[in-house]
Amino acid sequence: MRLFLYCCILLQPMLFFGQEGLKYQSILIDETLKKNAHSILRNERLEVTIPNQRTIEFDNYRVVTVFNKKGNSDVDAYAHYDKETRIKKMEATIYDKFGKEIKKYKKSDFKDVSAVSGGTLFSDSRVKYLEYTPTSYPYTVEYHYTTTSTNTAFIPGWVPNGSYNASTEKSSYTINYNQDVLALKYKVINSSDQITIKESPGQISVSIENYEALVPEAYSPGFENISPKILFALDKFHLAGVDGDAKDWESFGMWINNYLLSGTQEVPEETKMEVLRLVEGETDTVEKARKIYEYVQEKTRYISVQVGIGGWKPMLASEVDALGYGDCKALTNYTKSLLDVAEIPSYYTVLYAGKEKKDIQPDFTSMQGNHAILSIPNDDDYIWLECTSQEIPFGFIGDFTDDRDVVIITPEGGKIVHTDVYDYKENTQDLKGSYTITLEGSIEAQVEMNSKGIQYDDRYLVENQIEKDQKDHYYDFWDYVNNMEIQSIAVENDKNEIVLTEKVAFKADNYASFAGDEMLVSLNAFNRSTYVPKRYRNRKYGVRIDRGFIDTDSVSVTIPKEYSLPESIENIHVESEFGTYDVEYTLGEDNTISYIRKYVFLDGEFPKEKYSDFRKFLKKIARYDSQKIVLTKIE
Amino acid sequence: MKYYCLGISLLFCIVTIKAQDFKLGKLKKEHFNIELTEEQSEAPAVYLSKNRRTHFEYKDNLDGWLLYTTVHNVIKINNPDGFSYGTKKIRLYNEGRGEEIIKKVEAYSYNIKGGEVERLKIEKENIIERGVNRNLKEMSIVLPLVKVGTIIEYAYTIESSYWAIDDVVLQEDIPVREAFAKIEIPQFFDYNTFEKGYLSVKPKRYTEQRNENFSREQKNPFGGRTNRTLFANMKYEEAVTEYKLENIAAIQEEEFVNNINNYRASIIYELAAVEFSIGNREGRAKTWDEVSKFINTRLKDKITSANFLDEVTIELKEKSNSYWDRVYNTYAYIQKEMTWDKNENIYRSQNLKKAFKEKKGSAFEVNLLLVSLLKKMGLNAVPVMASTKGYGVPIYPTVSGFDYVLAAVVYNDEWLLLDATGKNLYPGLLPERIMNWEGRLIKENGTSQAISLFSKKYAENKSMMIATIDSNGSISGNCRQRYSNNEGLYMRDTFVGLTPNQQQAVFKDFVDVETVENIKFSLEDLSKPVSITFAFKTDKYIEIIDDKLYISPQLFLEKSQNPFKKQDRKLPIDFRFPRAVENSITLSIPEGYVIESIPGAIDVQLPDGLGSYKIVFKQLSETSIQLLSSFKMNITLVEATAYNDIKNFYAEIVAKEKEKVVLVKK
Repeated sequence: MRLFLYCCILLQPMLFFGQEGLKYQSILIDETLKKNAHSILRNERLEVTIPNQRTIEFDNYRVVTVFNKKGNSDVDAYAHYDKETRIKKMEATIYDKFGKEIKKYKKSDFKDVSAVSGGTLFSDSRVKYLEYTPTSYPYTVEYHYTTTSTNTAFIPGWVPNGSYNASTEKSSYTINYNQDVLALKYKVINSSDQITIKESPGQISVSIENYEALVPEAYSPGFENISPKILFALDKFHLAGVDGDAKDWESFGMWINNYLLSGTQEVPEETKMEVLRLVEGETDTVEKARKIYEYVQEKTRYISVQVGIGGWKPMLASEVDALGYGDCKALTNYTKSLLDVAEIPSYYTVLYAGKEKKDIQPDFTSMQGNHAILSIPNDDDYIWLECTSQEIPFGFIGDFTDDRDVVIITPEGGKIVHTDVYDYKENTQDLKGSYTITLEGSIEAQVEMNSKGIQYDDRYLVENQIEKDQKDHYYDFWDYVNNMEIQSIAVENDKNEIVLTEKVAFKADNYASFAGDEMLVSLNAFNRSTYVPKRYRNRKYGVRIDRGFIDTDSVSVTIPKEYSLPESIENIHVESEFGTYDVEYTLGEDNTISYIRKYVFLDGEFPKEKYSDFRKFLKKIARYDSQKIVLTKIE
Repeated sequence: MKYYCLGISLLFCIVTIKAQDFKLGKLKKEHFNIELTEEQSEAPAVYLSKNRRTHFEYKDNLDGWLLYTTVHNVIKINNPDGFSYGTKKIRLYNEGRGEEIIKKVEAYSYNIKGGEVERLKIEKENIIERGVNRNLKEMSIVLPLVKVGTIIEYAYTIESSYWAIDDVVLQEDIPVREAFAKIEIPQFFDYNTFEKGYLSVKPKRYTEQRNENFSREQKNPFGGRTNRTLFANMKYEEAVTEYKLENIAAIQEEEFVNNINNYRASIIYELAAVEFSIGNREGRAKTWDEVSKFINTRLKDKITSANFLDEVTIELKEKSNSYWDRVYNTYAYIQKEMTWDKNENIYRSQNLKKAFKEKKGSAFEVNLLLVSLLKKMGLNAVPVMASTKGYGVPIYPTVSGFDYVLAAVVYNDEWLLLDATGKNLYPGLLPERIMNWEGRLIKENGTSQAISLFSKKYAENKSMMIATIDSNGSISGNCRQRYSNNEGLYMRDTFVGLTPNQQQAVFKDFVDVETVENIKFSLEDLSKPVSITFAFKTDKYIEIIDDKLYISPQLFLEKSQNPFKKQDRKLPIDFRFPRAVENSITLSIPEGYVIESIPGAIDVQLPDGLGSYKIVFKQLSETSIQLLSSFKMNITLVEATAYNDIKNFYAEIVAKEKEKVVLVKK
């Protein structure tokens, strides 16, 4: 039986090459699939065989037609390998647009490199990939590889459209598993009517045909939330020499405790004493934790090193203690070890990090996540600690890990909880400033900004930048102000209250413009919202705003005495379900004018029909923000 | 083995004597108190000392001369941005018989703890090695306990069987308090040295006598070693050069710079000749003539032996009548047939026949094929050695300073440069990557001449617009734009190969208006400028205040931002190519309004004919206004001394273009 199977695998590609070769004429493809597509997945056939908990075999056959250079990255002809995973077979053939064969690649023709990018210093993992420079478009790549691995912890998910602007003619994914000893589960995310799922004992098979390319849209929920995907996992898996259990999050958490974390948390006596000295006399648990966290921040730095059990086991806490560096797992685990010394309970936490929020699937237990942080239970809530940054304040996580489901590893096992949400009311910027306009239309300005929440997160790193980079930051921040000459910058970072205070003074020539005897000035010099997203003929996805904010500005403007102010300026009030916008003008006596602005931008999700209203709202604000007043020369 | 140990200890001895202040592994409290300048203490990190020695050792008659480079650096970390200096990466190259080996690594981190210096030595397992690819290894020295205020120190020696001396880099991305480098070259080697950057380095040069005992191994009949060892003695002279500099400012990135490394203070070494016995000199590069001779001998065979092109030659000859036909048809043939591999393979050996068969190759292969074919067509064509912007500038005679080849053919008694690596190029039009100072034209007799790679032609962008303003504050009209030379190339590279749908979507980002329609491209004929016509509608460029309309008359063509923001500048400004922008705009005003004011004309000239700007506004009739503007930047590269003039020039343009046309209700 075994032998027979092996022969089949050998023969299959040849059969395909013979019969289907001419099918890869790119010129005959259906127009609807071509629409918005840089590439088309013509035919993908993934076959996975799992005879037991410690063996998984992949057979991946894939044909991609590429229409232009932007589609080159969709070819995806590569395979990873490491100590546990071996590439058995790998070959590729390139066809021109008429389906005529141009070039063939054997396994040894693939490039073989270390599978880490700049950030990681070391990893066991390597990758073989196809390096092909297309000589003309469209072209088609037929690609086939098989691998065998002992790591059954990661069964790749099925994502028929790998990226935006890529459509799928046909893709199927079949998993054959030994049902006598294994339980396979799956979960469909962003389901589509076009997906067919067939289940039979020991086999699951999913497929899709003629699925059109997805197109990116501004303020849409993001690729992860619109592209169909199916996750697969085993209840009992194997990872780098260790058997594991993922029946539910509780047992999976126990496994992480027992096999990844336990035995890694011992720290030297000397450090223990130091930690105890540090918290001596402090009664408040949160304050104790803060001191320990700051101690870790001061002592360590982040370095990515992927070794040991598939890059999943943290480096020993004693090693981090001696060397002062580690990756997210190591630094999180080390912080936990020190908190343990002070008898403060904390939980190692696994999650997906990134600005685009992505949840750990609460109802689907498997190896998930790409980052680790620490949580400290605090009454009914948690304090979240990002352990890889030396500069982020205690208990602040920003948009990197906010508002998402994560799994915390407690002594009783894993548990799904949700991280802190930064509500629009918390993301504030309070601005106070003044400027004087000269006869030539230049301005001299002073401004102070206080930022909190996500707005703090966006900018707190400015504090430690060298002067040149700070200046560049403000040139960029006020890019609509030309000829700016920055005179002073003072940045204060209150890490306890988590407030950033920036004080900047600058001059700018030709700020105002002239029309005959009149001078035109945009009163809003410090905080303009200028971005208006594109119009879409057929908006496909809803509107999603992940993080709202409130900005308040209070600015006093002095105009040259040779000019007079208009008699009155009408205040502005805009109200919509996306937020509110108010500007109030007060004309002073001594050629001054006060400009007070409040902009509330709400977070939330809205149906696609609302997109045009949303766009109009932003457009109105962009317009009001650059609105000019006319100063008239006194005769 | 024994011998090499001796070499190393000897070498450390010399290093420590020269850098008495920093003994490896023995930093003290006073090193933490070293006084730093303001720049040095504010930077993320600072090199307290940067030390290097390069010298040769004769190992034995099998391995011959080996090159040793020892580096000893001491860095203080000032803030978390400097933590990246806590990891030192070293790349080691190997190919064929040669290789680079790292010989000895020592590294320490020093912190002040309880008022005392705490020293930590790096353990072997924290020196991480990984294979980047077949020919490249990367060693990472990850220093322990690096915090704000830490001093780190590392030293290593690289043994190399290649005789390529690494550039002596004096200027870094962070300040250097003290740099010292000593390069010792035995009399048998002749290196050219060249200085880059704006620091004036005055090296100390002297000669030293060496007297070395070395071992000789007898070869066995297969060329391998026997265990019989003989000893011999050798006397020779060494040319020693010492570079010493203090308080070197960090190099700073600026906008409009082609490659920052062209300005980084450093000394480049290139092997010019080896002469192991008197009179037996093997030259590579000393003068441009030697360089061209060397290159010419390597190219000549490749060019003349391309018999596989004979068939094509006959075909092309048949369809070419005029001289220009022959040039153009040959060019177009290679351009169509060959695809450039984006210089992925410049380090492998070049093979014209294979490249031609696979229809794909390096710039070297593609353009040498072009030279071969042009010659077969009976034209006077030669290769031009050049280097891309990413690679740097070959300011000195060099063999290895080039990573690109162009073709040149005589046309109208001048050399016309050709590059067939891009599908949207044309004879005489070069892609931006190679518009990098000068190339070296290698003539058939082995002599050479410099040829400018900067464009002499203006990259033009001409727009003609006719638009109508309505009383609700919206403007609609038609626009026709022409992009020529490098501007045209940019547009072709952007739009050729996209579907009409994609073209429309991308073009919408080029014009800042709400509605663009009827977009028509003409991209095909490469001998002509790109032409794009479209209709638009927008209400972005008008403000209604009381009973007046304030119009930004250039609409989306307005230059609304000064690209130069910084107060001063150190490096030359690279405009990439000469430019000309011309706009002609006619606006019709709505009924019920009269023109209250229109901006005045200006005519601004940059000194020394660098550039000019002119704009005039004309009232054509009661109901229409015309605007003509013309911007010209006449050169490619401008010295930093002209920075203020240029910044003010742009400021004046931006201010002028912001001025409004005012209409008032009757």
